[in-house]
Amino acid sequence: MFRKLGSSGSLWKPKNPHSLEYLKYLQGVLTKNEKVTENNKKILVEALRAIAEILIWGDQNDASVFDFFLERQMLTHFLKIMEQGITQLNVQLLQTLNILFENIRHETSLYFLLSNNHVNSIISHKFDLQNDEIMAYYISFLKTLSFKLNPATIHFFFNETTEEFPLLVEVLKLYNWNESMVRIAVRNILLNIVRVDDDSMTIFVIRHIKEYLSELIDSLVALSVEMDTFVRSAENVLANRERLRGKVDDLIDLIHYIGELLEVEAVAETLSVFVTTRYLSPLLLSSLSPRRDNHSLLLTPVSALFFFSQFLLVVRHHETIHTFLSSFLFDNQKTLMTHWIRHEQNFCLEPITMASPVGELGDQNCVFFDNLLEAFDTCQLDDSRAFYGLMLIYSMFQNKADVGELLSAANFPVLHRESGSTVIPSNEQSSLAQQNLARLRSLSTSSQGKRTRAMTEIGVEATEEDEIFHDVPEERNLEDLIDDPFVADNNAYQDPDETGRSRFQSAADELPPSESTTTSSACDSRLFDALSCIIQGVGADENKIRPITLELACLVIRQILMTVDDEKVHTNLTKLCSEIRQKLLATIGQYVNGENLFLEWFEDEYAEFEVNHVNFDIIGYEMLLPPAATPLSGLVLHKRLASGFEERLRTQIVFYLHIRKLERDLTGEGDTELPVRVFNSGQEPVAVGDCINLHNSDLLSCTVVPQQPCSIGKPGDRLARFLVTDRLQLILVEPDSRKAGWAIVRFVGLLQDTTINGDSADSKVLHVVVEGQPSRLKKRHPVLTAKLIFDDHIRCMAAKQRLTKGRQTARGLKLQAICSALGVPRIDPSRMSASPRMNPFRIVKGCAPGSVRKTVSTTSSGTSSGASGAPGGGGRPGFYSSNLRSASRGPSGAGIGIPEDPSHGTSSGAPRRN
Amino acid sequence: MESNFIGDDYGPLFHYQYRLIVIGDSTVGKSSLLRYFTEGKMAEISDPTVGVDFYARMIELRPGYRVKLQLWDTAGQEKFRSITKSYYRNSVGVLAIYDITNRESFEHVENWVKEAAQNLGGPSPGKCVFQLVGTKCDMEAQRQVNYEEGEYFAKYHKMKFIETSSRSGDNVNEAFHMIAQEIQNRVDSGELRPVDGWEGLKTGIMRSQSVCLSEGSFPTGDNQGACGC
Repeated sequence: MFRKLGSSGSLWKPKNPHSLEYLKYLQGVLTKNEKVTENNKKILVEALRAIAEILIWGDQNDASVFDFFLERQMLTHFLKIMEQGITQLNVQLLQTLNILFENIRHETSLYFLLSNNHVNSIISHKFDLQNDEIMAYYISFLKTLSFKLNPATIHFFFNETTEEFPLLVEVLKLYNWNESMVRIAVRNILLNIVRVDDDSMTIFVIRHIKEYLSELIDSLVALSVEMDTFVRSAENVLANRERLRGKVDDLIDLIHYIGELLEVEAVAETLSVFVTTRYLSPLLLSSLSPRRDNHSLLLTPVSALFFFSQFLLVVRHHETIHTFLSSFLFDNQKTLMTHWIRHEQNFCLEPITMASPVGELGDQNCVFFDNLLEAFDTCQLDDSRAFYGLMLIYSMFQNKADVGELLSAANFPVLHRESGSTVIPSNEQSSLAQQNLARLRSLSTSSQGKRTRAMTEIGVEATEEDEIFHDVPEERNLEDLIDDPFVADNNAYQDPDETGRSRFQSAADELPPSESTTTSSACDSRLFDALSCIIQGVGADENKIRPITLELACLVIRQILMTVDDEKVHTNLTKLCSEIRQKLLATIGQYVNGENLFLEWFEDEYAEFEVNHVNFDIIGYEMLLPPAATPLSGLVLHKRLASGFEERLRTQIVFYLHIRKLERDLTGEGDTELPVRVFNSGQEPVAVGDCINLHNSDLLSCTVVPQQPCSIGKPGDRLARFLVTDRLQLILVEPDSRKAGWAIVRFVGLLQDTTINGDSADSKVLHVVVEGQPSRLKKRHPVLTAKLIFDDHIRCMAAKQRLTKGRQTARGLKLQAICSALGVPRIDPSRMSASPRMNPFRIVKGCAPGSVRKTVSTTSSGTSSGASGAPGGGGRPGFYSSNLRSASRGPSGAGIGIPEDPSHGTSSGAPRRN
Repeated sequence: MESNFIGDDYGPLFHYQYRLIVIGDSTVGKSSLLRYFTEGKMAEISDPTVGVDFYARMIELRPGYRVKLQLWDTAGQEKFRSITKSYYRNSVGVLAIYDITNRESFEHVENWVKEAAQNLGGPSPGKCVFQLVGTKCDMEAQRQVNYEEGEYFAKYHKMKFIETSSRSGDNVNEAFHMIAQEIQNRVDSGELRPVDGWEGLKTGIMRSQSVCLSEGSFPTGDNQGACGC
């Protein structure tokens, strides 16, 4: 049990490693082996390791353990060992200290450990930092310590009388270490330091950290340039996207870090100046204006817009953003005083020589903003710039630096009063679109109802309040009505090209009394023109716009429309949407009736359309590389160009859906036709678990053998079921043992998505695959893959026929609904020669036969006549009441299924109404 | 290096363990007093204490009856006030120190005592023992605070009073004996008692029983220093 250890001849090792006795034993080991030698190294390492363990245990369980540590001044043993500079021991020592500082909970113990400069002497000890292991433990030791910093503990680290702050000084030496883990730790530690609120420390820190901050911004410059170079040259393939992702992550991490530093008052001012003068102005703004000097290091506009928007999405420091945005929105090129020059391996910031041709262009105001708008002009050929331009506009809305006044001074529509609600974290972007939409709708139907009413005849009466609110804008509109759309539509402001700067100032001065801030925002009409370019573009033949760009454009337009109350803008936009929608429809319409798979394409794309793809975490970087035009790139369709007929049609469908939605939102109409729903004789579709009355229905007994795991069983199961179909659904039921004639639904699938194949080897077998409908969350996928074995060949044939016809009819009905939603005529080449058989049954949703409560209203003759009017309506299973069925049978003519005894319908209908 | 006598680890140790806190203005000589007490000799002039320091020593109150004193030395500087505050809770006695050659340090004693009284812990914080100590009594020439003033202050606040010199060693041991005895008296009378979760006062008997199971004593290097008495 007791084991002798090394030279500590008289020491006996107690059994329990978590006890005071064990610590006493270890203390003995340390005192016995003050001088580290080859022989006792291992024992000492183990002792140091065990000491950390016991102390933590003692901290939580037995106060006398730490007392012993204090009484025996064990910390001084540690220091003596450290000074001997043996790598193995120092690794363990740093690890032990790290564990102690990280885990000790009693603050009195922690304070003791920090007291009397022991920690400072450890921090300043010259460890062999070239040794990776030492470095790793050293830096994490510093990091652990930095998390203990607060206004009370800072005095352990910072001595203001002697001007000593080893933690800061040592950490600053490591900021440029070649390992990224170290650099990241340094960032963390510095952030923890500057966040401590202590005046004298702050003064010291600012004096010492300046150079670091400057280097930090330069590293952002270097990263940006490196990424830009990569983006210029790389093909859009998976491997490159992954490499790019790594670079983007680094860059965004850095921006986040800078953003966090800017939140710290102590360094904000200094850092803000560096960011502006070293990054934002000489790199980003320069790249968004015409080149002035051939030596300037510039980014592609796409990269510059991307970095710009990332910066806006992350950083919320008011002064920085305000300075940057006002330059961007109003200034001319003269604001650029410096530029980056490549100097062999490095970049240097140099003043721009005034000899460089500034020329006429240089005097032009708003040159950077104009550059943004230009991005949209060429969107039909390449939408990358437009995409990132949109991203930038979107980021300007999302920015949290409270620069709303600045933006509205630039005729940039923002919500002032509700700035709180426009601040939405990026991870909630999915809800954003819906929220915007809801607001847009409420706007268009309430206080701004006039415009809507005019177009939709909803008929909201204008109240007096409306009159007051719309008083001024209306006057303005009247005067401007005949203006060229390219001129700002708002005579309160002048043409931005001429007096942007002064306009900004005067507008900013006048802001509080200005009506435009209280009722609605003005909007630079050129912005709308730019956004319209994208909508226009998707209507053009051979355009190269990707669906994601249009989606983002719609999002931005909605955002703007929430605040802009300008009838002309609405009218123009509505007109444009309608025009483009028609244009797209003309293309799509050709294929609705002819293409067999149109139904699937439409449904898939509708599901895709309902997904919100605007998530800059993912698309932000994928779109930087040149647009891919092939599925081989591994990109999903909405992020690339279409390849081939099918993809082109699918893209057109998505375009159509977006434009249609935008148009409806503009007019305040809801969409009642999409998503397409075909009703099952006015009753709800059957669901699994429902109990249905199958009295007098066509039932086919079969054995279901799943081929793949599914909701009803796993491969190899043999399930006795009955196959039923209604107008739209394939249903597998199991008889309800408690009530004759009733059955419980075990599986439901849509006939339209059912494929049937015979079996060449066995004539009693059908192979059935049913696919589930695509949805926002899930793509089209098989929900049932099974072998159905019937009693005999004839029954198998009957099933096959019924399913085949059912599929045809169901698809016809669905296509019909799509046609009427789109407004194109439905021409069925194989005009229904036969209607599906009647398979009447009755549903009681979710109820066991014994406790039937739910009733379905079926007596309304309005339903029957409405349904019978539809061409496909002849196939309605007329179970609910015999007169309904006969009514529907009448007009739809021949081919109605097997007649049925009306008495069954009425008599079996009785128990439902109990 | 470590020469204070703590006691034979594995013998029947001590009857009680008292934890005391030493407070007072910066530079009044708290650390010197403690070092003289634990090391038995005058200490070099030292830097101001950064944060807290810890000392321990065994004393014999009467023959065969030993108590262990654990002593928290605290920084007098204002900037460490929030740190030192957390050490009152687990103390049973408070030594409030002033420098007889520094009037201001005497005037601040009242605040120190007040802060201590507010932060003491244990089952009956009101019963914890305070003692006033004037240091540097060898420097009679520079005296700014009369003995009587200290005595009066102590009386008024119902605490004991002593003047010491960490240069000559006068009254150093007595000062600690005095407070230990007073604590002992209150323990004997039941006014103070050890409770779980309070480190101010602990019995030593229980510990010795469990520790006795281990091996006999072993020489622990520099650990056999001065005798307690």
